[in-house]
Amino acid sequence: MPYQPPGVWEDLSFGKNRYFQSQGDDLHRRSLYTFWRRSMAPTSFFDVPARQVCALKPQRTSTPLQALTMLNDTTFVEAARVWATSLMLVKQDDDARLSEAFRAATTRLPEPREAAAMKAMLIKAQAHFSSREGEARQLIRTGDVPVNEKLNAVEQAAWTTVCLMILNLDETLNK
Amino acid sequence: MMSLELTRRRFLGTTALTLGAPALQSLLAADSHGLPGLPHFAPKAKRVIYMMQTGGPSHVDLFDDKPELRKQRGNDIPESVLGGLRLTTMTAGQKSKPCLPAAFGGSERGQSGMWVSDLLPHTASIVDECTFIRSMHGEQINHAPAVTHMMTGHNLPGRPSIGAWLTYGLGSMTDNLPAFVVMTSRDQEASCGQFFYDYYWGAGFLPGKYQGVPFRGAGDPVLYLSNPEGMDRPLRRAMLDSLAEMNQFTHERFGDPETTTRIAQYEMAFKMQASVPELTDLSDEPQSVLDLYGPDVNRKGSYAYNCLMARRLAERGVRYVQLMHAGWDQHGNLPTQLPIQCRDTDQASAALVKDLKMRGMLDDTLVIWGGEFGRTPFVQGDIKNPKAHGRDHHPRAFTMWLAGGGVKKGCIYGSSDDFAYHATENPVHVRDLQATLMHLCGIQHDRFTYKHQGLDFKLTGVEEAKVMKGILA
Repeated sequence: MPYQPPGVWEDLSFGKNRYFQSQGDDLHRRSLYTFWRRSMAPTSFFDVPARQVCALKPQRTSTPLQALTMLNDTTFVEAARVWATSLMLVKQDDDARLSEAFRAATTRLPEPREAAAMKAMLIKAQAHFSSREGEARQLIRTGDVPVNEKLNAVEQAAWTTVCLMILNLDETLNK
Repeated sequence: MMSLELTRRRFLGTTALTLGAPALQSLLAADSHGLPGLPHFAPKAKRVIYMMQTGGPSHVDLFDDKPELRKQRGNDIPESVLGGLRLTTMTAGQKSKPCLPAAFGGSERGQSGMWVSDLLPHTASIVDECTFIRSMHGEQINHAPAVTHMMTGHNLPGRPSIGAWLTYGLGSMTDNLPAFVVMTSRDQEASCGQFFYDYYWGAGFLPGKYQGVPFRGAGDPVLYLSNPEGMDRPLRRAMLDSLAEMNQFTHERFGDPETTTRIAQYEMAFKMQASVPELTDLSDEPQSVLDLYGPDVNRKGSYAYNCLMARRLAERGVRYVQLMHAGWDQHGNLPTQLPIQCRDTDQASAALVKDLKMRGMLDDTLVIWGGEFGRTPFVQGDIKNPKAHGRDHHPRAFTMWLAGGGVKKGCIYGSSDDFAYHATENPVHVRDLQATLMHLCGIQHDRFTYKHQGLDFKLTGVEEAKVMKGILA
């Protein structure tokens, strides 16, 4: 049972169904194993059949609500920051990290202008968080996975921002 | 992955791109303006607010007073009236079916003389703005299939809801809020057992973007509206600018128009992060308006709060607002629960009509009040034990009211038989109501179809649906 905003099941069922988020490893199981209520799909699912009737082809969702979910749901923000720390641990060089992140998301290497755009975002985010360490710490606390205290918080937050952007690329979502 | 060949799609994609911003705007405009050829004719209603009263409000107690029922109180309803027709399993086995007349007083109100229960004094005050249909009927005798029928035109899940059809056909009138918004509420005593299924506002086989967007009473009004902690709005803006730039590169590379749509949807999401908090901030409402809706209006998620929010949404260009209120299902507690239920909903329902009128919006806003069915004119349980009796579901005759948006003022349309059991004069089937709703929005219901699984589907289904000319202003 993944992260879900409070009250979603409770609202639809008038308090009769209560949602309990999983803990530990169960929290991060593949969505294939997520439980569905007949009355309500998990809130972070898109491109899925409604399940009341057969669906022959999947839909490609493109809505503001999907955007808000991909940008703000704890599942995705946490994924971005855990991904950010792993990138920081395996590669030392910014360009190599960006290139690796982009390749992992889209299965291709970035064009020079794409690499430049990501780099610009990184620099902006670094500048933003360097004077806001408190906010950086807030961002990297998103989700239940423990924070890597050995890595610089400002750097982690900046990379989290870049990784979240890469997770939201049209090519990542629609590949 | 990258092809040097100039495919048709790529050509069209890049050509559109070189046209620049105007092309992007027209792409979005096409989306917001709905289908070409629609509306079929000038609409009377630009927007619709549907106040769905789920559970089955008792037409017998609230609107459809019958002298015959009073005369026959305690006597069984004649078999000739029951006609051996299907009842729910809750009363099918009940040995006697004694007549139970309106349990509370009432009187004829306004110029139209519409009979309204004393439990609904506020609704009584607007009868001359409304058309009351006392001859509604359908086939479904249980909640979920009946609500599904009322909201989607079919008792089985999987069809697009009315709001999805309308926004698919007519498009959106706002670029910073969704075109179709849903809000749910329930009676304060939580006496009602019904759940809401999300297909009550689903898109069915229409593209998913036409499904109703639920606004919630607690937490973020829209799911995931708030940025994660530690990410402020300027940083989010910078991130979205960067994302748009990257997506633009993708668009140049592959020429997929869906990529431009996605850029626009992310922009809409960012706008909603500002427009939704503004929408839900009631500090700009004068006290007189809050008073109109009653004290519950201050409680987020209450029916009254949702009614006020419906007006604010309508004002900001939302085309279809669906309020889902539960709590009308009084099987065994009608004498005690019906007054509570009326108190929860009466003032705010009437206030919405009055408020729209004060703002000059009632003329082009269609307001609909009604449930999925009515309740049996015979008692469920022991007629001598008012603490534990009530009425069962009854779809063969029930009452709904409409106001504004091209419907007659002060009109009473159709009637039921002497026992309020069957719709007799000018019967209005659920699909007739839907055809009329479409008509008021400028759509000829049988010319508005969507091909799915080889069939041309329409909201009103395959049986003949009639526009009710008699209620059109």
